[in-house]
Amino acid sequence: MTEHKIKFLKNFVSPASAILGAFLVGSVFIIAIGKNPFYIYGILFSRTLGSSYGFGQVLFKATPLILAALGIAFAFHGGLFNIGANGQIYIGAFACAWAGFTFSRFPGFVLFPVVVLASVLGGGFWGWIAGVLKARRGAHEVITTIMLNFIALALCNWLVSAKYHVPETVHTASVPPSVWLPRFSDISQSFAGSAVNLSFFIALICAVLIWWVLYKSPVGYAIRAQGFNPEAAKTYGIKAPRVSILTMTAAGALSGLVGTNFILGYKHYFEQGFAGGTGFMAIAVALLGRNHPFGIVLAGILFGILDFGGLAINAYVPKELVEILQAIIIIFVIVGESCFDGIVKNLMKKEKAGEKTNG
Amino acid sequence: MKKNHNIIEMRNIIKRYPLTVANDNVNFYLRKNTIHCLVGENGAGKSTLMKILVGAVGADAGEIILNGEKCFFHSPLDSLTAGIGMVWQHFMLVDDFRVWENVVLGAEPGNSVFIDHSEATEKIAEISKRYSLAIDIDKKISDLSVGEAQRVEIIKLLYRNVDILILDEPTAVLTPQEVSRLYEMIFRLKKEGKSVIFITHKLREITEVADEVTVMRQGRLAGFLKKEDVTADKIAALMVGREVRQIKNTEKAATRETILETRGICFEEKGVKKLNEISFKISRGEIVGIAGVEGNGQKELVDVLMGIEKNHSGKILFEGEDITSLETSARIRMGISHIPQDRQKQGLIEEFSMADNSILGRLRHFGGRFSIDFGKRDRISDELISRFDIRPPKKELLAGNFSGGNQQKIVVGREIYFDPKFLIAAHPTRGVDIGAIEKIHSEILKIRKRGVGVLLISSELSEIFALSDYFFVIFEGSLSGPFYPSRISAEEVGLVMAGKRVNGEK
Ligand SMILES: Nc1ncnc2c1ncn2[C@@H]1O[C@H](COP(=O)(O)OP(=O)(O)OP(=O)(O)O)[C@@H](O)[C@H]1O
Ligand SMILES: [Mg+2]
Repeated sequence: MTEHKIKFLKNFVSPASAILGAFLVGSVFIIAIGKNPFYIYGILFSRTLGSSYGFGQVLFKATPLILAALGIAFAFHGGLFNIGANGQIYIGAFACAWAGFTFSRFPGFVLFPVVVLASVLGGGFWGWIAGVLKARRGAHEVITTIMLNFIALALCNWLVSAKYHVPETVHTASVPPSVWLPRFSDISQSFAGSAVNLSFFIALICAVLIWWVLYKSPVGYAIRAQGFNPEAAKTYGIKAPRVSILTMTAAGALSGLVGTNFILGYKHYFEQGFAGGTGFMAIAVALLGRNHPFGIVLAGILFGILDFGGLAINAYVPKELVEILQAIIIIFVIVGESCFDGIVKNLMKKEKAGEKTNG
Repeated sequence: MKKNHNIIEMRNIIKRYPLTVANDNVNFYLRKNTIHCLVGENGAGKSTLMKILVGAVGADAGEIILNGEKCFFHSPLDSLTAGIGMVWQHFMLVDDFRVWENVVLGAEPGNSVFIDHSEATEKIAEISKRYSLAIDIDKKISDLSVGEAQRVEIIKLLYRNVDILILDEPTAVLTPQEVSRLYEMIFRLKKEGKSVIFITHKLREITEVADEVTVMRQGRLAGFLKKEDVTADKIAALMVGREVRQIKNTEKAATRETILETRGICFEEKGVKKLNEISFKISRGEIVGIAGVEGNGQKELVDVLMGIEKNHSGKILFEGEDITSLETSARIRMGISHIPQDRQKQGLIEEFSMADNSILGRLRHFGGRFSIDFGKRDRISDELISRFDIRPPKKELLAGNFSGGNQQKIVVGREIYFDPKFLIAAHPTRGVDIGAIEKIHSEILKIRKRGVGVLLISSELSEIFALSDYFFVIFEGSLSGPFYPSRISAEEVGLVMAGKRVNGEK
């Protein structure tokens, strides 16, 4: 058995079996409700993957998850656990909307980079705070990012309700149409009704970029070295404070980009509480994707399927079923990791036995 | 059963890893009440064989017989219950726990809620007295020297009443004094009817302690010797299959042009003086040794020189330039190389491939700020592999999967490869086999010939004597010396290392 084979098993087979296992357990619940699992899963997949509209919605739901998960994975490679994606999403999105409606008289080609930059800077700044606290004061990033989540949510709620809301609503004014991101439906009629927009490609580009930075660039080398062995990194001149600040800022910036999906591509204004638990679900996406950018894209799409599929099967089974599925997948992924070693061992033994009989 | 029956027999053990066969049909036995040395080159499969014995890794084939009964251990805990305990090449203690907590961990006296502190401490005190394993049981592991940590590991096993003690390269990290204490303990164990498996690379130790010797080579059994037949030459021949030279420094430095100078370096940590007025000058092409019992400030000195620790007073000059405030990376860039004392904790990133480890700290040689020249990385890795005979010769293998000695070769190779102007070598041959020692020593002499200054830190006096032009002894953070290898005996140095005050010559 080669290292490659082991890697393949670890990266693909193990998560895939976790997903399968979760669906199996899920079918027990469906049967308990008195429904046919094949029928329900059939609906789940045909509504999501069977039509352009459904698939568009899947991608729309996947976009924020992918962006935030990329940030979480990036920080994770540097040895930091970013729980703060949600806060970073809110700050980034608010900054995006604010820049949009404040400078609405700018021409589109000027304003567009401004609003995108605003979301990046907003989220980045929120991540940067945790990074600096870690680097300068040693404050644990898990604690600070959790606290920063509360602050971000409260701050945005206050900004909206006290200063910027459109009367009678809980959202801000809209950004001008000149910076709206084209939707897929603008290009192909079959996507009509789906909010999926070009920000999905922003997420894909980010995934490629993060992959390149992590595995091909000196910065990524330093980040991973720091994450694996801080002591050795220090010995050979990698500065831990720099890595903390850099990774947390980048993580925040990626989460901030979620604003482009919602503000520029969907509602065009900032709305209180729009992100829900996206930033937390993204942790699961990063985990399922094994913190690899491409794995995250796949995992994000799967969670997109569950998210939107949950709405589709709502008429037949409680929507909570999907939440149960998501939770079981996460548990299976974690448990699977330890089971995995045993499986590889067995396989290697079998292979050897095979070799013997052959030779 | 007769007195010296085979307490352990391992038959036809096979263990394959993705790129190597670590154990290829190995037979091994241990007789009761003996000290059995297990020797062989780096990567010969010694550690693997022992891991199989204690159940830390599973063999692909073969059987283990304990006291005449076939048995199988699923985990080290399993074998521990059966009376077999192993002190690993790389320690496994909980850094944040105190000594006594580490000892009782997993076998806590008292009920399931509260640990009976006094029972534990009493028993530990008794063991440490009986086997002369002095230790402060309330210290935290992170505050211990390597020698002390090892004692904790041993106490931990004795606390569980093991009959068979496996020590994987126990002396690699010890000073001569600590080594003789270890011997004392081993002989004591033997007297009490216990049996010991002792893995080592040092020929002298084998002749001193072994009742029986098993030699391994490239995963196979290469030979077996009884005490009467053991000679250093015989073992060396069995181990590497050729004669090994003792490298000796015979030339003198070419110039007297100072390359590195320290002026009055003092360093204090938690109110304890770790370095006291350290001043020395090293010229180009000069090898200067620092001998001393480990934990007397060696690590702190290296950290200060490399800019890892900057909270000190005094000055460091490199090629006449004050580098006291420079970052570690800047110092590396100026041409200061560093073989750290702990290869696993500091020298390598185990989760990276060998190839990625060969560029650690040297990224600027591989492109710029934005890219890495992977072709060049691969070429250089291959070169290091062949130059230092790193085995298995696979640059894709994760560093953590190389044997201890081969990991050391990766670090040494990297630190010598990139044309350093100055090399700080802390225990450069720790844990490597006699063939590799020869190689590393000759490489160090080679770069000094090119005008590289070398600071050689070693607790191995023979190494200091073989390589250094002159050396200092460090004791409680102060240097004494210089001493010249040709004009002082090892015994005298031993006294200075133990704290006797002398003025060096100059
Ligand atoms: N987990 C692993 N994966 C792949 N190869 C491994 C693994 N562990 C050990 N090996 C390989 O098995 C061989 C034997 O290793 P082992 O650690 O037993 O050597 P050793 O005799 O203890 O050497 P040393 O004296 O250097 O400690 C080496 O070639 C090593 O690279
Ligand atoms: Mg070993």
